Amino acid sequence: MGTFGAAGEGEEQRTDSELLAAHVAGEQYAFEELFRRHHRQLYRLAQLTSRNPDDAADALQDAMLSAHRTAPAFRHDAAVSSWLYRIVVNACLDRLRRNKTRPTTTLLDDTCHSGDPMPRVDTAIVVERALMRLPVEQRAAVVAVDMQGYSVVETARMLGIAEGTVKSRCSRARRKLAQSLDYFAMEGTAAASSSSNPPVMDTG
Amino acid sequence: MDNGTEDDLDPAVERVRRDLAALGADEDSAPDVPPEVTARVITALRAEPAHTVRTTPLRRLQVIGLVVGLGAVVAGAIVGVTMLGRPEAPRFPVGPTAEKITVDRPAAIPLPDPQVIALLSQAPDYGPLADPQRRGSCLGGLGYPPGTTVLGAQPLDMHGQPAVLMLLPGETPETVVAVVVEPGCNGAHTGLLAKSSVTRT
Repeated sequence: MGTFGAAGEGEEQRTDSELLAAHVAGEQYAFEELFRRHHRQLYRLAQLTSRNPDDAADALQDAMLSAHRTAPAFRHDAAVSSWLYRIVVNACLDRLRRNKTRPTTTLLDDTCHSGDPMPRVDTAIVVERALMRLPVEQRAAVVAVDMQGYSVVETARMLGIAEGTVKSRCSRARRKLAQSLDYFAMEGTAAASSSSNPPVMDTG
Repeated sequence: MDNGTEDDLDPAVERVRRDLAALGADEDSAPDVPPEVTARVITALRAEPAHTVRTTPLRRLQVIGLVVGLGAVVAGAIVGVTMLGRPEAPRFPVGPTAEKITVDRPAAIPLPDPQVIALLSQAPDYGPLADPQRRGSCLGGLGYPPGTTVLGAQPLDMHGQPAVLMLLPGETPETVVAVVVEPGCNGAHTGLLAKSSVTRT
């Protein structure tokens, strides 16, 4: 695809804000450089909030085109990276809302990390893999609320569902993650009343 | 803003929420992107027209704008000269002179420097940002990495609306960054109202 960016070797790397300003001023490859700088995290967010890799790629492209066009309106009241993350997550949640009637497809497996040169026992990777094993509906809710900081009200609106549904999906997602990550045992809590492991009832 | 459930008190669930918040800003651990995905996005971006600074504006509009602008400058000058020439100067109440008023920061932060610095030695009062998850999300939206230490905090009133002042590490040990945000500050919308660098005394 060719090299990118105006900064050559030895030149100080421009900040995200400087790149965005350059893009708004008409510099041809500034936004591309900005995208390349953050594309791994952006794709991660797209995958976490999409039904499948194809949807993730579609949403990522739509989001980046939207950001490219609306950059002049960005008010710099947040970090540029946060703004990009938000646009990607919004695009994915909007896609989920519009395709609510589609059946849930096969959960993404671990192939998203097939590019890793070596296995890494890293909290982030482990958490991400646990996230990817959740149903997309729960995954999207908990990513929006706990990872991106959206309110329950905002998340409900973006997904086109009730606030109570957002809360219950988040609750189930968090408990499933805590279970799969073995946090209940690590934290020494007796919270064994998860949905997947109901306590034995004495009916005698 | 209620983002939690009855699980919030469970340490295991709290740990999950912390890890998720950290993952949201952890670019270093993000996996590689399939080359075809990157290529596809780049191709789409390059097909977009670049933003341009208008170098050939409509000549008539340009002239009209120039005339209106110059007229405003002239009118302002006339008003200014007229006001200065008035025989009676406005009366100000007796109060501190300019020498006694310490103005060492833009008026945006509604607290004088000494009060801002004093917050460093007080327990932070986060007000509506007491929830660590939300506060972390807010800091993330402001561009600060997970785990950034808040050096001081206090709810306050900003031009008639509630807000929260937070003190964050500055670029040098001698400075702190003071930010004022809306109570609903989160990663998606920080509601940044003011920001300034303050020198520790």
